[in-house]
Amino acid sequence: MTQSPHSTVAALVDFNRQDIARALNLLEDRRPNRQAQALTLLDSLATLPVSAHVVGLTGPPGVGKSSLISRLIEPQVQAGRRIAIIAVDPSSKVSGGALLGDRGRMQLPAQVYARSYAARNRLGGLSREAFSAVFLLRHCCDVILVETVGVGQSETDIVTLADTTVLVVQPFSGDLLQFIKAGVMEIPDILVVNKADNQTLAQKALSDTQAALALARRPAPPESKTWDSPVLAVSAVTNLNMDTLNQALHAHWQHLQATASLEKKRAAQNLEWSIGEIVHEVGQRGLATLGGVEGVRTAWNQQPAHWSVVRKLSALLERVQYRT
Amino acid sequence: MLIGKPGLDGHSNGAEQIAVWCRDAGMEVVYEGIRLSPEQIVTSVRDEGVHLVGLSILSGSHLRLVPEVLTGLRAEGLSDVPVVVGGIIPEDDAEDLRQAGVARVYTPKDFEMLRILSDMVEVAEAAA
Repeated sequence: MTQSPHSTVAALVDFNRQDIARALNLLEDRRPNRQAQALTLLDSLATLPVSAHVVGLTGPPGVGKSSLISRLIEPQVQAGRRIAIIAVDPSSKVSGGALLGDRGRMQLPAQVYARSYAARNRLGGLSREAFSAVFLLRHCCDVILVETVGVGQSETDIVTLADTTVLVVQPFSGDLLQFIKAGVMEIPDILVVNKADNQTLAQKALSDTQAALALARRPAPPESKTWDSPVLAVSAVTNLNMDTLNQALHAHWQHLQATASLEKKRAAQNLEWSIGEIVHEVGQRGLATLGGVEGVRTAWNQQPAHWSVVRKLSALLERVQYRT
Repeated sequence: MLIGKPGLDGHSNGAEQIAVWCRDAGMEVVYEGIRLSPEQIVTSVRDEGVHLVGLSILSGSHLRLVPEVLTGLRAEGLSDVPVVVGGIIPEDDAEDLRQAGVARVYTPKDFEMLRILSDMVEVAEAAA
């Protein structure tokens, strides 16, 4: 990163993939001076408009998340949209290493930017680095597809990062009770039953998940314009109903904008991420000393969309501690 | 690191062995799979921001494919990312590849996995 921050920002917003890769390298770099540079870069991007629709795909291992992404991007690439993919795979608890295999299974046209992350010690289905990568990328492209680690029942990190969350399940993956227990069933904006080329089994999964979604839905005040999460049976292999899924994604995006819930959602995501970072740095007691969630919210509201505010807060705490 | 197989050979066992061993040694490995073009590999190296590239070739086409990857990396400004190659590679060819800029060449004579791993760590460290 020898260029001035200004020229980098211009190149990033221009979707220059070489610069994007370099910027994401910087975000990953754990050296303190590089971390400071990374936050400065995020801050300077934060003043620019957010251009991307962030779509999260989550679901059990082997359900077809990577295959769905390969299919979803086809028409979007043809339409000339700028697409980034963030794929997260699990880390080994034994060695700390990771085998990141999503890239190998996706059909990636040359125009698409794709990056893999290891979840490291995070258990919610994403990685710390994936968050900051999306915070950067959402100023640089039109669509970001985030693929979580293959998840089971309670990994719901993706909600705090995506504008639209797609839960993917497959036929033969459990009965109704399996779906109504909790956790991931509470999060989807769109629910997809993949592998619907097997129709009998897909129909069963479809009705089970529809029933489970109906149970998970919280009662909403009648005047609120709520989003009814659709349940779609698709097949990435035969391309069945993939256009319907793309339309549903678009419809949810329009819904978010029409109901002004996009900004609210992103503000909540930013706050949630900040709280997580602060707790990671200084723990729950540190967070309490900083005024808890409300204290951090106030700091954000004073300096909206400034990522370094998080660092300033935990640094402030450090100074207070050393003085006393 | 990134591990991939350029060209048309599907003998992925060696590449997979190395990928899994690297993971077990604590590395984060992007395993890109088989039948890749040099362009695909260069794009992945750029997008993923890796510190080391491992190419596995058992088809005999290493003298053609490896220099293409190296040229592509240079064109993308990635010549600082070291490349190691593994496969059925005669010693004369290995020398050619090293001359062309490959950091290490491993052949079936290199069967001591831990030695290969620590060697690759050295290569990555030297380039960092």
